[in-house]
Amino acid sequence: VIELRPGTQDILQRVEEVTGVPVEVTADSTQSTLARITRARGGAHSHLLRVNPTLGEPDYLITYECGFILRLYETPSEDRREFAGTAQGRDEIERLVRRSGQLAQVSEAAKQQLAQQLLDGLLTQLRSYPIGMRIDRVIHETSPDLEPQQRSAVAHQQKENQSVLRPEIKSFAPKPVYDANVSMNAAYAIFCDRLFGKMGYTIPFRSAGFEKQGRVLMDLLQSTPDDPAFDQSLVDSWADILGLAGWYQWVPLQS
Amino acid sequence: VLDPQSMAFEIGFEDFDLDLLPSNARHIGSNEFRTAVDTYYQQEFSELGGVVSVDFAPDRILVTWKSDDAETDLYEQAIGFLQRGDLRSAVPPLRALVAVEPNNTDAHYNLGMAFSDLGEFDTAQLHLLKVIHREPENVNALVALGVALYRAGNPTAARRRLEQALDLDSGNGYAHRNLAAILGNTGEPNRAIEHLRHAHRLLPDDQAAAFGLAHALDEFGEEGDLSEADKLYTATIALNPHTEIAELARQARSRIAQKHLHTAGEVRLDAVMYCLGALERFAQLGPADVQAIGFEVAKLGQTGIDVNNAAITYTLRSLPGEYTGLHLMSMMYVAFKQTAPHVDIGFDLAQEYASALELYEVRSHQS
Repeated sequence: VIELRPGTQDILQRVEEVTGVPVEVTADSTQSTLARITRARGGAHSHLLRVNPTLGEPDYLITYECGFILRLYETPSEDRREFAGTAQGRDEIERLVRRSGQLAQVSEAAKQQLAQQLLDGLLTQLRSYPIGMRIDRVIHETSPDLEPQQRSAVAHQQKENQSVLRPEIKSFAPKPVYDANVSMNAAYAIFCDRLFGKMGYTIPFRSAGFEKQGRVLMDLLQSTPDDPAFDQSLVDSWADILGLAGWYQWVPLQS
Repeated sequence: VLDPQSMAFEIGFEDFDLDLLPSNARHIGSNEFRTAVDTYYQQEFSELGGVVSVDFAPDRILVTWKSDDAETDLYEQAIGFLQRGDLRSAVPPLRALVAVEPNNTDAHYNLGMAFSDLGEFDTAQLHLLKVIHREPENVNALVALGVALYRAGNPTAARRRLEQALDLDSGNGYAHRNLAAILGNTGEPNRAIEHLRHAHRLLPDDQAAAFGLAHALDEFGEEGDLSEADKLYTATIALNPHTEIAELARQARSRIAQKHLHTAGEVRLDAVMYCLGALERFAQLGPADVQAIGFEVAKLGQTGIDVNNAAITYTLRSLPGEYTGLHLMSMMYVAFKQTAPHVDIGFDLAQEYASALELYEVRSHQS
């Protein structure tokens, strides 16, 4: 049984109210991300929110993940769209992986697997980072009791993001994919430094030459209205800068 | 829970933004480059306070920062890296630690060990000497210093440190083991064997000690010592079959087996018959089946096949029946000759195989 703070239970209640379906929270230490919410589809009786218990108390992670569903339902129903990969994105990344000199000796099956992993990771990052920053800011401003958990989750994510700078990781990712990934990491580092005051998170990305690109993405975040109705346009503007337009599409929400 | 007040990251030399450095420090990897990179990170983190450590591996920069009130213990962080075998990552937190605690002998000791394993012997010696200057009776540090000195090509000084360690603690198996390595390489094999016996007795689960004694007996011992060496090689493999040492032990066992096999210098008729049987049997099979048999015996051989004891038999998944070790090795020899003739299986049955081929051709003509 996962014990939750009253504020977290309120959030879960709000998701149920706006979507008509409850959220089922489970602890899953095997998943690679800290938390992941799967919206109820095809008549499923609940949204499924898997939380990795590595970080201890899950209230911040639950609040953060629920934020995506709440923002989606705060947009007019006719504008609600889901983010989905496209064949163009898949073809493009497979082409990049095949062209990579570093991967010349790798089997075709392994190349396809790597391409899929890179695509999934990049699109998840594109969909979640800009909107997630909106959610993070709201949590920071409205739920000071969650700040220690939030700081800890951010530290965890920053550590993961910094590890991408290791030469061996850089060596196997095609350059456009790597640059897009690290640019978003840089933006997230700048965001976190601004959110918590200087934490030094930007330093690794600045020294790797990605601060400028991170600031461009942050400028887009700031110049886009906060209203959830602009979330799709925010993601699109990041995709344009990162060269990922056409790698995904917005499809009508399926219930 | 992760502590947001510490950070460790690595960045390739090639990936550092050279525009951040003075123009005279942009030659990647140069001393000026390293100094400027160090200064850059010190300045970047200065606003945050705390301790920054910048280290350089052959292809990358390693940066560690810890705030003054960080909860994460640098020493524990480093030990975590060491336990995972990530020596390079353990260095920055240890360096940061000794920067603020210059008399922390545990940190110096672990730095010395890490640098020694990373091949940076001079730096290793400096840290280990700091430990010994503060704690002259620190046996582990003396042993580590002995090892670093030996690796640096100074056997005389290494021997002195290891003997010093044994004077303080004659029950230190690592001191015995490492001293034996020096003695074995400097013309004192009997004394080496003596120390290795101590080491193996004191460290029965230490693969290097078991292998060292086996190898010394095999190399320097008398004829009668070969059987003990073979037993010790077997024990070495049993301790962990997947290491490089285990592989060396397997090769050594194979050599010993052959030595026994061809002691009289004669062709082994039993092996000739086994090879002949294999030639006949394989003639009924396709190359894939023959290859499968060869590979299965080779795999079985990784855990050791006794070719000199006909009382021990083995079974195969790919071929029904029970086989002695020599029978299996004969089959493997023939299988590899037919499917991968360029591969050296490490077991010489060339004469037996040649005789078997002659017999096989005669029989083929007759039938």
